[in-house]
Amino acid sequence: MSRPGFVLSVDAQTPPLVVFQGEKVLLERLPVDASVLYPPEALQGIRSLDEAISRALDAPVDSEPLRALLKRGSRVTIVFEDLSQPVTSRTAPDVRQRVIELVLERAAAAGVDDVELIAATGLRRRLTAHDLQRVLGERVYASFAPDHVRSHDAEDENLQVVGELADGTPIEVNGRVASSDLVISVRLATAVGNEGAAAVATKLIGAKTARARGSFAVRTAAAAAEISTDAFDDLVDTIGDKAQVFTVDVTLTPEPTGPASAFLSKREREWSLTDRALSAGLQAATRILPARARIGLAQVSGVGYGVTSVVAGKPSSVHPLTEAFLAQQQVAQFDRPADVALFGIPNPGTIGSSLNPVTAAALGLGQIFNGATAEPVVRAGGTAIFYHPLTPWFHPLHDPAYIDFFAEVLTQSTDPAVISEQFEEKFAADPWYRHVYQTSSSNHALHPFHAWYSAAPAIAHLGEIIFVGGDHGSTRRLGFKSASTLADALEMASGSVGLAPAITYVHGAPVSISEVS
Amino acid sequence: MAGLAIRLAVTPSVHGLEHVKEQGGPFIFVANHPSELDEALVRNALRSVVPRLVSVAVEPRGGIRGLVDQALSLRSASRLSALLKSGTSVLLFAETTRTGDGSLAPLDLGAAALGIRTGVPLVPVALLGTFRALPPWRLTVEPGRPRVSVLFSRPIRAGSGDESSAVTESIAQAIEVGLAEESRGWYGARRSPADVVVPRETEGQPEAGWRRMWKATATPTGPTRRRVWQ
Repeated sequence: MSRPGFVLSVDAQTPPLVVFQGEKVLLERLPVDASVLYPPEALQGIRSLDEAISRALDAPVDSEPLRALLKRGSRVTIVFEDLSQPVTSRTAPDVRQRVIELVLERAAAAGVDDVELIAATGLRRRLTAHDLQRVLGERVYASFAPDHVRSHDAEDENLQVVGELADGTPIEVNGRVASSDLVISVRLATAVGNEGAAAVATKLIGAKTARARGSFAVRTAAAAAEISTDAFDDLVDTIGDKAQVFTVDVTLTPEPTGPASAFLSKREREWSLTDRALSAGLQAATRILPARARIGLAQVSGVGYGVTSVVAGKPSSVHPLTEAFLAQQQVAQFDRPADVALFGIPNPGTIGSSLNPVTAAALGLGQIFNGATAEPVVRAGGTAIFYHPLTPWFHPLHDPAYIDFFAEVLTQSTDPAVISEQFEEKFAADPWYRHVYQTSSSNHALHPFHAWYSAAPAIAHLGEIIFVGGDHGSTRRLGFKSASTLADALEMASGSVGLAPAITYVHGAPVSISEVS
Repeated sequence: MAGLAIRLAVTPSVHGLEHVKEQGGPFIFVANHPSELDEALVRNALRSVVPRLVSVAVEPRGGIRGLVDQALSLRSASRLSALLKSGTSVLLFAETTRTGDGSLAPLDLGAAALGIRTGVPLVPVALLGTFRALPPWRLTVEPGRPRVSVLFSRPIRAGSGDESSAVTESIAQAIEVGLAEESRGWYGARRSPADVVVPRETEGQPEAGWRRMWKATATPTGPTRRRVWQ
């Protein structure tokens, strides 16, 4: 059992607190009487991972052991998480590789020949050969490349229909997956950034299905109905007529546990001399280094994630167990929603590039805002203050659709309903975006739309959204305000929340994703 | 310094070290021994994981090394047990003879017996490409930094009830799977033992000596460096 989270009330003795701002880490002195929500401390990682995985595979929940499911001559597909979950170590093999190696050893012993590995990318960018090698390891990759290891292609011609959505749109999933005898899904989950859906098929659907499922109208209707029955509920344990799903769920510690960056998730009052020295070093490096080098610094400091649990078996039985386990790592309860909430948005450590402004806003408003606690920490009509530079920089390979979304769509309107009506069809039908998605690892054209829709509930809930340190132009274009310091931001917010608002700071952003979904 | 010398001479790649890292030592590493490069390579791979390591070969070593082995009585099982108890790991080259072509010779039962006696995990280690890099007739390593691999398998735990022949068999199998990776790939090497009839290159007949030697020293084909445009 780890130490539970708690709420600290800031007084004159409280030291400056760690706040992430893109690739920078600031030490901010908060106003007296502000509350700080500390998440529970991370659980200890499992030391002997091989043993834990083997135990899970040999004694699964509500399923026969994996060995018994693997039969000579059967068609097996292994589906694994893409870079929306972090690469768990910079020096040792990734956790996905560890699980897949043990699964494949059992498949080899059973004499299975027809094996294919597919990265469950959904509408995210398809992985390059280098990414696949990093996730699967050199040996597994070399055994299956180039034909039997690939990323899911949402625009593929060989998608197979396995059901129907509520509005009558056919559910098209990856053809290989639907035609397999056994689908082994290797999932990584962290407290935030966990997609939540029980069915792995949601990450293997075609673009048309994804568009119908993720459209703004459907999202709004689902939020209004609160409890929605998902058409994918039938695809949790089997996909199509014969593909049986066996899942291996691995939960990770919410933040990197490397020695150099561990102090960032500690409580500042408890910092040791070493932690203070590291913090001073980091501050000095942040001041001296240019922006590009700071990105490298973030990559070095996030060193590795511990594994906290491994559960395997029937997905409908395993998923609730994983969810319950992750719920333990949620932020502590708080008494009442505040008038103003502060959030830091870190640069996800393993990408090696900064976030584009649309993704950063979606990350802040979609995932951090909704993800840290069960209820929003701000009252309806309150103010959220985020720390992020919102530099208008886009990855030239991954973000072509984002560039146009930022330049053409957001200049016209920031209203999701208008955007979805006027622009979504044009982007979805554009053959150029389809081409770069399929051939050069860029995000699908619908990806920026879905990101923006995910931020919509938070934007509707909040009165004002202010980005401290945000680029003036891009903050304006997104429909938010920018401030240079926290004091300025509070001054700007005073018009709507008064001069003595209740302030809550959600400490350390519990984001451990490496590429935003 | 030794690490730098190795990197200048060959291009080493190490796999499976995570199996060792996760468990606390000591270990008995059981490796094949195709060349004189082997000990240095394994030591270099393990330098951050296993602080103390002694190496012993079943076939007595010649020269000063042999004298040192004798002086420290490293070839006695009780001496090795004492070393293991004190936390020192042991690297055993357990082949009963050194083959002339670098292939795997039958393993001595002593390694398994030591594992059973002490309860220390046995880690099979397969060394690939070292025969080609430094065959017995050469004094220096082949130029061009040839690729060599050190593959650590999962540790095998032997208890007092186990037969040393059965444990030796599983060690030999793990090393053979590692050696087969060179020709069949990672999955293929694990897949082939599942077939009842193991495919052999010649029907029932052992391969001629010259063919084995030819194969052992052939220059590996395929890309040696990562292609940029892929």
